[in-house]
Amino acid sequence: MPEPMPEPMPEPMPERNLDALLDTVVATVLETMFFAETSGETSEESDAASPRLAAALTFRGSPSGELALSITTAAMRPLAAGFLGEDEADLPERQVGEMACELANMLCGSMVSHLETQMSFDLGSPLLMSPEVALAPRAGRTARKSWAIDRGTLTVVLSLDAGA
Amino acid sequence: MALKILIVDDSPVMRSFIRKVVGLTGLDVGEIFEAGNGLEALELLGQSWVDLVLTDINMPDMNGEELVQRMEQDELLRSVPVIVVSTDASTNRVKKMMTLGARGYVTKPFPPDVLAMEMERVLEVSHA
Repeated sequence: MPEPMPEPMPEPMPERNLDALLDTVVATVLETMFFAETSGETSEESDAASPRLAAALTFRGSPSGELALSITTAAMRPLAAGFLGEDEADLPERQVGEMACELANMLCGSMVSHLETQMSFDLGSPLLMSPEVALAPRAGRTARKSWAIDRGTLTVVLSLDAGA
Repeated sequence: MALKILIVDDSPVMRSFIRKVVGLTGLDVGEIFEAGNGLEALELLGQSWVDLVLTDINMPDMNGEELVQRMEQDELLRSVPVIVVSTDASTNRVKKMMTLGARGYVTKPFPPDVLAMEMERVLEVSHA
């Protein structure tokens, strides 16, 4: 009886591709759903003192991992207003927080769909958390970028589980 | 007769967004119902007839996949067209949802007119 052939190992995606993918996905989601755009890459420290909202969610599939974001609260408000077609002044804090979760959800779904176009995946529910927890370093491969946006910054971290 | 539509999504802000898009379609839309997961959707469908269901996939308690399956198993509900609105753009997922009985599929992020066009297409086919 011949030995079964081992499954070929998937080739890991080059690091720089993940960075480029983050750029593409963030630009597309902001433009399509929030009628907004980034003003280019920036450093995380550029807006570190401002109050921030953070959200994260896990995804299971091939690959599995987590996407986390941290965004200046003042920057999330106009994004939420643009998305919902509401006046910014009428938005309760709760809704701005829900919007940060939905932004994380859309970025994550979009990222994973680009990473794996054939196989489906399962997304967890996005949760609001402290920026320190959301952006804490993870094991495995990670892409991390910050962009300047209207009234603040947006930082997104994509972590792929070890072996991905 | 004005259309009755059910929006199923665990994100309240996404339900608000879809509600707004539905209002912009130009379709004669009457009552719009909302549910946070498949279980709530089935409960609502047991009480009120709707002409179209727009559902997410990843939701707690009962996801969109099971919702579509359960609707297909029901003699009355199987005639209600379902459009999936999801971040999952994988070929497998789209095929699976369409095989289970969904009539349309829209991937997030989407510009409002994409959902509007899909709704018009699905409703036209369903009423042809």
